[in-house]
Amino acid sequence: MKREEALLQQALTAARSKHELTARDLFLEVVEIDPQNELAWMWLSGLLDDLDDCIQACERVLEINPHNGQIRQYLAQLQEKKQKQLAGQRQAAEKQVRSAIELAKAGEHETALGLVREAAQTHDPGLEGWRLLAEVSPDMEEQIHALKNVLAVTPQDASVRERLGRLSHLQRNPQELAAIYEEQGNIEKAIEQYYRALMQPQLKKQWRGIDRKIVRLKMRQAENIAHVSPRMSIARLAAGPPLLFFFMLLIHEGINPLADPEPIFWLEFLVTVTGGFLIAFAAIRAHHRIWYLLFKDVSTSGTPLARTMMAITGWMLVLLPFLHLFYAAFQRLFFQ
Amino acid sequence: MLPLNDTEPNRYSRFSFMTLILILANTAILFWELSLPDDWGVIYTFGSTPSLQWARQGAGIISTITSMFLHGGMFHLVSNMLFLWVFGRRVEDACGPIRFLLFYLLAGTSSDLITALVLPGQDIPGIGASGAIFGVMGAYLLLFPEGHIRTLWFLYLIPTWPRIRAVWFIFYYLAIQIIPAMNIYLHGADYSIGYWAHLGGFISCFSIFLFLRPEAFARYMSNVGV
Repeated sequence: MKREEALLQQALTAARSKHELTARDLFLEVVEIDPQNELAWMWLSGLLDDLDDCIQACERVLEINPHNGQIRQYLAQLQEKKQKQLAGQRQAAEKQVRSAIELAKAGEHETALGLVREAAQTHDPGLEGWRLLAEVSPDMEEQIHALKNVLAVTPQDASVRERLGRLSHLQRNPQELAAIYEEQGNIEKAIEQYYRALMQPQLKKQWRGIDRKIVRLKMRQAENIAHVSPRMSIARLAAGPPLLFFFMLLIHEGINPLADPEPIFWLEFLVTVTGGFLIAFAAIRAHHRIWYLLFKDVSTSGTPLARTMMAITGWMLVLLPFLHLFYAAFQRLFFQ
Repeated sequence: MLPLNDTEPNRYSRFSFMTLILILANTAILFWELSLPDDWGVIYTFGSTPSLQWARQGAGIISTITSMFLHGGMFHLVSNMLFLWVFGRRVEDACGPIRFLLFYLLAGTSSDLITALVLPGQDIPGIGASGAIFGVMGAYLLLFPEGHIRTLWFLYLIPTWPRIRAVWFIFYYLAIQIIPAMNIYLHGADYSIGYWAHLGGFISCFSIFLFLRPEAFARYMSNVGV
């Protein structure tokens, strides 16, 4: 008790002689020894730097002595000050978010990202702010954090829930994420994710598979090979089977399709176009919402099963018109 | 001058098995043909005849496909299959087996279509894989302009096998098609070789870009070796 009293006296002397920092440290020592020391807490409520700490000190005093009217009045003042501070911060954050939204609309995503990040650090940027952050941030962790905040405000938003599910899935599956980066032509990030995948425990065969992918991407990077968008690849590969069908149809129609056309085959030509598209879509690991809508695949790149099913459907749509054409030729040969 | 082998290795696959399957199928069909007492019936039914196609008679597109697998004799088959092996192996590697098969059929169909368009009155059936193989040669020219092949030459009956640029070899074979083809078109000359079928197949080579693997296409677009 003697040490505590001595410290208190020293602290009071220091406070009265305007040595505030020394006094604050001494009062802190006192409350460490005796957390029930009302006088020390009272002094601390005026000496601490942070407004929240001052409020906490006042609350502590009132816990020890609920009849301390002076401190109760002081606490009310501090809380009012805090409210004003929060309102100011909120206004500033709202202003920042508004500017960020305008900048994002103007295509200045980097600047918009900086502003909305700053707003999120000081204050809750609100629904629009979180939405914007989820939209413009290149960092997956940050996107997930922002989406969680959006979902906290609008729990019914299915598209946000779906996107959050997809991102969380990709965060757990670096190989799939790497495939997305590869598809986008971001080879460096793809390699980074494949390395992340290598760190995860797996079979030796899988490990070798990932290693081969890294080597392939590094070679691609070294040779400076251009990125071809998945849309281009799908359009290109989808055209092959219909072109073959078109050539065969011309021969079947006596080279001149206008003379006496058989409409059913021209309709079937459209079926081969659809089939060709499905085959190409399944072959290229393109990310699309359709994988989620049809197969509830959260990665939206198509699981092997989903892609196989789509490819089989595509092949059936391609082969049936060909078979019909062959059947018609067969009938012409043997029954005409 | 005959091609012997493409001297460059595959890039994407270990072995071009569709090319081998096509060679085996063509060979098996020739042996089946040879086993028949009268193979002319088969050739007339399953060979491709432009006049019948215009009249919507005969086997139509069945004959378009079957004529690609019929050959007139062992020399016809061996020379065609040699070309297919030399030029098809790496083209298949750049496409993948299924897409290569589709391209091969497309080239054969295109060769049939061009023959029918240029020579609508021809009533002699055309047979052989050469139309499709010319398509494959054209694709090789587009994809591997720097490619080299081993060839067999006879200089005063002495065999020699130099490695030459494939582009010269293909241009040579293309050039020797053009004059007889024009002669057929302008003067109605009669040849036992389907020169227009060869040119028709060759024209289809541009469609190879619809069948390339995405990676091979990206390499082509980047001007690095496919």
